Amino acid sequence: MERIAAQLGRAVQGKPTQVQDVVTCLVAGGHLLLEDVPGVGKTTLAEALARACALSFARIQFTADLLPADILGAQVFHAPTATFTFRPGPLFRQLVLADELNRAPPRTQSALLEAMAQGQVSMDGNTLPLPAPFTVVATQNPVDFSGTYPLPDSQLDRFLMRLSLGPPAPDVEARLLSTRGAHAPLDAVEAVSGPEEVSALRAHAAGLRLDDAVAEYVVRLAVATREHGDIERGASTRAVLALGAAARARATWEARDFVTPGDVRALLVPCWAHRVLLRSAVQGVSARDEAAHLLEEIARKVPAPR
Amino acid sequence: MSARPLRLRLVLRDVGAGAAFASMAVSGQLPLWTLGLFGLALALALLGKRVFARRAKLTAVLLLGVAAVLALQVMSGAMNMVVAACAFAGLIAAHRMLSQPDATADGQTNLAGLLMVAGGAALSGDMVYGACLIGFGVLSSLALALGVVEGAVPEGEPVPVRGVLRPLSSGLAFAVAGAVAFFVLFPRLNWTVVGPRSAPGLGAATAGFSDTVRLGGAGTIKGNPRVVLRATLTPDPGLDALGAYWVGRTYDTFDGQEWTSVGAPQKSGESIILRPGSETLVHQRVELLPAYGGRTLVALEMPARLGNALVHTSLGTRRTVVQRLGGGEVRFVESGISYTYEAYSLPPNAEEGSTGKLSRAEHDQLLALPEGLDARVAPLAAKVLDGEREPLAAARKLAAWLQREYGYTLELSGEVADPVADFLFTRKAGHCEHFATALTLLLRTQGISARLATGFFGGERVDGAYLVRAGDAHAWTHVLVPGRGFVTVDATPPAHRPTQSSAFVQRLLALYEALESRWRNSVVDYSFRDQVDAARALVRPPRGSEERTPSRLPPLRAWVTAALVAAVVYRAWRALSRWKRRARPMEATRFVDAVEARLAQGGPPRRQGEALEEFSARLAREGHPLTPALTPLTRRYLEARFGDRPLVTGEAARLLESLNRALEADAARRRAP
Amino acid sequence: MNAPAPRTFRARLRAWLRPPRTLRVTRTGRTYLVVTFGVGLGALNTGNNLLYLLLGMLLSMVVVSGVLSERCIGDLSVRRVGADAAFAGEPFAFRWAVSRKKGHGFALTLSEADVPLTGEGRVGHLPPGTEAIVRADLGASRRGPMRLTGVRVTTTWPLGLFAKTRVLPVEGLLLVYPQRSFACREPVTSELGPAGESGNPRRNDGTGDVTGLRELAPAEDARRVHWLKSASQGKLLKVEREREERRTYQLSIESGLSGDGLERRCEEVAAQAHRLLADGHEVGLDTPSTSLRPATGTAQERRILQALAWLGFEDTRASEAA
Repeated sequence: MERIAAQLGRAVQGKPTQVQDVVTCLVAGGHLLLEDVPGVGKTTLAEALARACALSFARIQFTADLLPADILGAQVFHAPTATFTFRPGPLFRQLVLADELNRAPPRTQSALLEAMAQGQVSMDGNTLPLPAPFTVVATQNPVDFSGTYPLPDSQLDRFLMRLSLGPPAPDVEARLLSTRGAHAPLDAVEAVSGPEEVSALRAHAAGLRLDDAVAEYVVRLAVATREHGDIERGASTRAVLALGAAARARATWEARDFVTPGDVRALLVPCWAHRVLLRSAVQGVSARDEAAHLLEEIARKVPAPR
Repeated sequence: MSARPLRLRLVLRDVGAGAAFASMAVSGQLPLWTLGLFGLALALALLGKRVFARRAKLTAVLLLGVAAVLALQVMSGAMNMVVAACAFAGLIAAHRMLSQPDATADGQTNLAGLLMVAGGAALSGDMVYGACLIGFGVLSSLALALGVVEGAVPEGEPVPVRGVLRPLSSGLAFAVAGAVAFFVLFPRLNWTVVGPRSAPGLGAATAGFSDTVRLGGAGTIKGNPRVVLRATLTPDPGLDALGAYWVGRTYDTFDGQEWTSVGAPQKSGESIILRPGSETLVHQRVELLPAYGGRTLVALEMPARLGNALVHTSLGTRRTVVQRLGGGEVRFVESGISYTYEAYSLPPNAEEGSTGKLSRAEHDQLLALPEGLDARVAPLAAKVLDGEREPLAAARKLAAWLQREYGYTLELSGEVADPVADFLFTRKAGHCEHFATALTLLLRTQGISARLATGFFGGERVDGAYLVRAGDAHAWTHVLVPGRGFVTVDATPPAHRPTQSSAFVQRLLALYEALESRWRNSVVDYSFRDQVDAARALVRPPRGSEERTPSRLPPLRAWVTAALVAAVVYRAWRALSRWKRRARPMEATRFVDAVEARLAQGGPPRRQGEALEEFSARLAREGHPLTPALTPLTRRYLEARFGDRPLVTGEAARLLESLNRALEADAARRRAP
Repeated sequence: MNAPAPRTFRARLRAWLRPPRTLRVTRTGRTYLVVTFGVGLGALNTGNNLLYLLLGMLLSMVVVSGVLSERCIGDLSVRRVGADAAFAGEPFAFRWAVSRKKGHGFALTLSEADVPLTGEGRVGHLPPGTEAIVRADLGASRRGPMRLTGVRVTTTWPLGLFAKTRVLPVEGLLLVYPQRSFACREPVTSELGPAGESGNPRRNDGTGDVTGLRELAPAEDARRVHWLKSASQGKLLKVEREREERRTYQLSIESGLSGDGLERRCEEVAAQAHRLLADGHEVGLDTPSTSLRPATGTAQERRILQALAWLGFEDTRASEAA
């Protein structure tokens, strides 16, 4: 994992924690939602991830006229044999970058999200499995909402984590300016792993020990979000499971074979901030910042096992 | 306010109003038709059928009609003003209960309830009133509080009934306690207070005394357990069952069917002297209760002086005069609900000396026989007496014979032509009036002067006073013994003299009577005198208490000590059980506590709420010199706590030691420059 | 806040005159007190012990009522959760969060203290340890920043005889936007005409970028059919394209206006800005104190409304910043 992260660090500089979270998400077997203003390297990050792990990669630019068939694939008429054959769409890759997901109409979004949830594509009565490991990295631009179809809350739940990269530190930006001309950042990324290794990592992470005390801690955090006065809808059971899976994946970082409360706390905001629905969108404060703020407050209030 | 009012609240409100109405109704003075109307309204309201909801204005005209009827009754003198006002308040409440349940109707129902309770205080002094008052207070308060909360709950949300009831019921308990405290402590301006006496209530009053005693008819009175008389005796005989004769009046003329007396009404006054008293008179303070129903004063045999009479009416209590009638009867001139008076009687077995003021005609009547007396009576008497001429001995002989030969029964055959002959020769069974009449006539045939006396026999001790029940009514014979005056001889078998009601009912009633008398003494008749006494008892405990018979119970001190010890033991047990039940800290947790304590002493500052894990990670990121010592330690702790690899013996101490060394080195490094 | 200034005598007097609790007798309570008085008179006059008992009950209910309402209203903490956009002259949603550590609260009515805001929020039952969100429709009569000093909490619990009020000091600021009304005047002419690149997202019948595909409805122009997509889907699909028409307006508020005139002008500019932004145009604002660059979107509308709300209250804003 460190190797993958190091390769990613070459492409996206100055973001060690976010890079760590991205790899955690990959190892946990979840899908990732990157939400940030344009131009901070969302796409670069996803591509670098594909390269470092030697995963087959496809980038789908979501637009208003994109139809489900455009991403899933379509039956085409094969004239010589006079039969219909299935031509798989760009979705049949191990790592799919769904760029500007919220630009596509809801029908297309749900086709993608269904594929994400099931790991397979159903079309015309045929069920076609997607390649393993299958990971979707979706991006969306939180600022310019005009002409977009925001993702419904229930579909946000399908993403294991939501991350935002944020602008790089000034010194990193300065270094970027000086080196960018020399070579493209993606060229520096070498394949250090393979799909088999990613699958093995996933299997390993899923088998890690989650102590009863830590499990209870996760549940108590979920109950706290459900009972919090400012939260309309707290963390769901799927959210609890997601946090557990992510915490397991994070434990592999330190070569631990058990999950600590610190893992849970570190992943609380990326895993849950997009899953809780706030009661009141306080004017002037963006809902995502508010959710993160509330979750941190909850993490402070709920006593961790010692 | 939510569209549908809470049903529970309305039920509470209506039952509260019902309690308020009941507080008036227990006085028994309200006209029956108002009882019926209110009961009907309450039943409809409880069923949720608010029949006046549509036409509140129109149906209010009904109230006007009712008011007119009540006004007419008041003006014609058939009804008391207070009673009429109370009845009208009740009917207003009934109307409001059946109206659309909005805030106004709620307020008016509660207000009417409050007025009814106040009216009830004026009408009755029954103990049931106290229960009704508390019932009204509690129920209406609950209804009000639920209304307040209901008004504030947004529409569509449930009203938190359980949440309301808990704090409110504790509040109400305090309110009741506060009411009692206020009642006890508030200084009374009146020196002696005699509270209202309740009317006979829903049952009819007992017949009391009439001018005649008629043999025959049904004798259900023996089974009536209601208390008609309460008396306090001085000197107190201290007996549980007094077994004494309480005489009301005497009769001297018998016409074969009924007894009458020849005496004419005599003077009236504050006090009546029946016969000259002696040195040792028994003083009685007698209260004739509403169930008595008559106006004749009753006293222990033989009464010497009666007077100091008070009559209690629904309007209050006032002093009244008594009048002496024929047959030694003394009567109240005014009628009231109940009466209080004082009487002095000769002690039992005292020599009377004279017969009192007996007129010539009365004296002659003592030997008169009815015209159609059965011819067999005189020979029978002569045969039983067998020559005994001494009046008292003869009377006792006859009484003993009657008790032996005749049975007691309350079942009567109804009207017969000659009840005496029927008793003596046919049925050979009868009740006390038969026995007494037979004895009197048998004596008279032998030339011995005798008369019939009626009153009560018995006296049951409750709370230091003696109670007499309606079932204790009795009749017996007075034999004139020359030189001694009248002597009581009772021909009725002794077992059948007192009340004949069932033992269970009697015990229940005794309990009720005890409560009622407590209530009467400590609430209705509570006065400034009692307050002063209580204050004095508080300031200076009565001396006599120490010389009383040593109680078998331990002193108060011991109780208090025992309670304190019990509380301490309980607390200790609770603390112990909680300590035992607490989560046992794991070894790793104890270890991390020690580490954190050590770090708090001399380590780098930690942020608020930062766990050791995050703290260690932060130090590592910052490149703190403590990292090499802290990181493996943290790792080991996490493994032990969450990774199922417990610390081995001595490992904790070793790790702590390494941390100590690192901290000291760090401190030294910081001190160096 | 600022360093605590030495409290003047007047401030102290005011604090003394305005105790933390105020008590008001409700209509029911007035009747109750009258009846209590009557019963008291009756008890003293007649010496009827039962009337004394009733009087004791009535009086102790008053005391218990005071104690219960005090327990209900004490130990409360209130914070403002937030408000929707507050426009003058129309109700807007406002929220408080009330909580208490222990003991139940009942029948609480919340409103803002000492500010010209009408409306109140109610909460029927406040269990201990939980935070209840109280929502109210408040109304403000005029535009501008409003300094909120405290939240007034009133309860008529338990019997509705007395309304006990307590003001919890919570600082805050509410910005009331100008009234939403109809602009009678046409806005000034646009500064810039159509600009090619920028699409107008509100009109989907233009010739610019594709914004989406819809099924062709009856009586719609067949020239808009996207034949490629229609062939793949087997039904007629219409392509929607942005209309590349966007103008830029610079609205302005003249200096020298005050009082009613200023208010009227603010309302008018707000209405014009709303309409223009809804049409997808760029709108900027010039006021004597600030100036906003032309932009589009709801964010710009909010910026304009904020600027309008602050107009005339710049000194308050300065002190706020300090």
